[in-house]
Amino acid sequence: MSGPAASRAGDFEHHTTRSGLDVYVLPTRKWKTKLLRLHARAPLSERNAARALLPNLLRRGTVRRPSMAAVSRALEALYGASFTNSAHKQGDEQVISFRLETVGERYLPGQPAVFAPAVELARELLHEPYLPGGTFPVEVFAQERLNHQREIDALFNDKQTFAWQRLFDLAFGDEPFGRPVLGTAAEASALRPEDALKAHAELLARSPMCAFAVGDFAPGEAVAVCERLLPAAQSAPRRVPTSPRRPPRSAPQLVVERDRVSQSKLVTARRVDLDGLSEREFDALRVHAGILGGGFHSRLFQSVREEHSLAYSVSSSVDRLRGVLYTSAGIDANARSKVIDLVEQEIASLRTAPPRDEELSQTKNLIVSGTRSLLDSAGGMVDSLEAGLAAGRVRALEEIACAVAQVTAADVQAVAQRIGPPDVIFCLEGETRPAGA
Amino acid sequence: MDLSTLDNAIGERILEGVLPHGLKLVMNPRAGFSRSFGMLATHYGSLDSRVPDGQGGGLAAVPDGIAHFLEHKLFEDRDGDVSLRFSSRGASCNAGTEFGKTAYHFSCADRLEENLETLIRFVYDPWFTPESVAKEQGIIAQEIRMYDDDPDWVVFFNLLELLYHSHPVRINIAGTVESIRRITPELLFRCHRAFYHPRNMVLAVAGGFDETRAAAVAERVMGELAFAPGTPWRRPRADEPAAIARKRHVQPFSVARPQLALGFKDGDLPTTPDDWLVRDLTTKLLLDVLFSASSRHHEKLYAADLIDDTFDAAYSGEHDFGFTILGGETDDPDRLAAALHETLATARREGIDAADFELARNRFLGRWVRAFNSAESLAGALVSGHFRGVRIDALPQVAMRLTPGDLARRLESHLREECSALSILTPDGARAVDAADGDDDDAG
Repeated sequence: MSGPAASRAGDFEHHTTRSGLDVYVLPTRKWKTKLLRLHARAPLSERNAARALLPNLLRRGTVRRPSMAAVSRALEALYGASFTNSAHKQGDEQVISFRLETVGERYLPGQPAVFAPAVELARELLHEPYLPGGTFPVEVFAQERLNHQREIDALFNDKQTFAWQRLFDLAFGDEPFGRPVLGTAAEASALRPEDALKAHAELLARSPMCAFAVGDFAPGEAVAVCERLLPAAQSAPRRVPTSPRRPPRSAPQLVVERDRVSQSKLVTARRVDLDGLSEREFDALRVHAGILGGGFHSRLFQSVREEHSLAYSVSSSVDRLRGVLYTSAGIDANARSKVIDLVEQEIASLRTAPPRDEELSQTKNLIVSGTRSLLDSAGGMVDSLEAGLAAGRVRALEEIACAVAQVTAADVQAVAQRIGPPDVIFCLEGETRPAGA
Repeated sequence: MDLSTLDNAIGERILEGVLPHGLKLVMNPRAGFSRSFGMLATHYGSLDSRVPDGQGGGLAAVPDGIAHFLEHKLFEDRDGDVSLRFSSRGASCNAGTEFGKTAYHFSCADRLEENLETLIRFVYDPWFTPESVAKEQGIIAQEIRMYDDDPDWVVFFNLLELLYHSHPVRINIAGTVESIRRITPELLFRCHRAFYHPRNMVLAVAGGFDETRAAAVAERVMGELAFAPGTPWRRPRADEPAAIARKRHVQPFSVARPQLALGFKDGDLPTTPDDWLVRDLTTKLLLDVLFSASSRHHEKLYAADLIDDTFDAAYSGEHDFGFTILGGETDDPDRLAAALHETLATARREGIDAADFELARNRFLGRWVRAFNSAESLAGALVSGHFRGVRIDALPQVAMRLTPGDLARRLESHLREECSALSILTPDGARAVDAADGDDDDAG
């Protein structure tokens, strides 16, 4: 039934189907649902929009159930089984994720069959879309394309998300990583039905895929289900992103855009040199970002919010695949320069001196505790494994927790030397107020 | 302390008891879980816009946003920032203020007993000074500005101001930059004394922990604290007319597309917790039958490009208010509102289809089981259930008793055009800042 015997991948069993699809399984009765996630990977490119649109076309109907209402009725009849999709970035790749979740049959009145029919429905949705005349119905395609454009435009409504997108545009606009995961509105509006059909053919035949299953799965069940759902799918080795990268700017690019907002959004990006990064430095980078802006105790929170009352929220994070350190703050418009200075001071001080024992241990405790907490979330465990696969550093959550606990103050100061000056500073700015308003 | 078991169809282990000074305890210990979650909540929120004056049973008005302000301020005591005590142990903590409750919670992978002790002690140890209150005014003003930029929040509270004349549900939970300036240490102490009595509160613990040790810690710490005698706060019914206050409000906003919130004010208010549950479930199943993606009404509205994936239909209510909101992003809010009223009229004529009803109930039962996946969300549901007087197992039992006729009657009584109001945001069309906020309130 399945290919070679299972090996381990972190907390998961690793199986391979006959066609070569990697299936990561965590058999457990810890949760009351069964979760199956199918991830299709592709390089970030001008085709992001077509691939992200495809799942919304597929849900509009199958040969047997040629309408979205008919598909939804079939899912609802299975006690609210869900088959949803989303798109995210992982390194230089766009990942289209299909997520099937059903409630455990033993918790339902009369213990009806729920998972097997839901898999069958997912198979129909993936393989047998409603294509009268060999293509998506004209009005269906036009409507989903329009909705896709609107979803892209609506990023503007959430000012924090919008500020992030503008930062990515400015920092990585000329690289694949800078491409919006849903594509641009212009790319979406130019899509033709043939583009979606091509994306569909590639999804089933060529896109490297992988599958994750968490729940009360019998031995061999998850692999059999994946062979039924994706009989031809293959996986491909992950690679650390290698897209060409513009050299850092000699001076930071500061861009301020005005909008009718009450609170300004200030985000920054700076390069982190990943060359020859050891596993210990990989963990130290995370601790560094945590000391800088990873919680109430962090330097940015204590300085910008608590000491100076200049922000409600302020934080930092690090992308260890791409080598970028980000900071983010929601501030009063007239506080911009002051907050930029405070951020710069805190980053510089971590370069010139090791962190204090107390902030180091608090940060490590928070990361260790947060890592162990992922053991209680099916989705969190999948996300963590996927991040490990993408970075080429697959570890069990407990291994990650133990490694983070080993990071020293000297490790943090050493890795701080890898962090460059600000590359891009973006501020979405509202009206300035008189001081104290 | 005696612990009793709360039966439920899932077989999840839920224990209940009463701690010293009358604090209710609920616990959900789970084998195999790594994380534990503790929540201490009071039956006090933004709805409580008046506080007992302490002189003969009268009530005195307090500044809007004070429950939320108090929630922020409790995190600081004589020794500094309480959150740092949690984070030093690797625990994360937070709090939230809602209409009817304020909850403080932490999550940790170990040292549950120390965190539990910190949680109980800080919530019962108010400490406010003029300086610390002044500093918090700056931080909360930033938080309010963040909400002011959130279109979902703005369209929602604009709608509540249309539906309600004076009911405190129309008050923005965080207050306004102006109202929080009027908050003083004395007012905060008074609200804490009135609403943070253990008999008005509940402690929930869920996740991978030892229930005997957790209960013992809670019992010891509560035994060490002193309280004057108190009773659970009985929130008075607001004196609110059945009719809506105003019909329509349009506000230009920094959004990409117009947003609509069509609200229906509920005039059929419950008199008992059972009534509340029946009303809540009946309305939610009704909205599911009418507007879930499987319904023909949804299909028609979607095909006409009046709605998209942002469309939502939701009901929310407590003992003296209730409202349904339909809406989302749409090119023509007035056309969508007219189509929604027409849909409701059609549904009233045609009645509720038995097969549609069965589907909605199946989906509800699946969602109910799913809610048990997360220890945190179950703890939250147990806390809300305690304040409402509703046991968690009553939900599927009531759902199984309901009939399509119940939904049809609810449709008839609640979702009526004369009880509805329209809150709309329109794109302001300019990214560059210029004039002050426009506010085109074109009907009264």
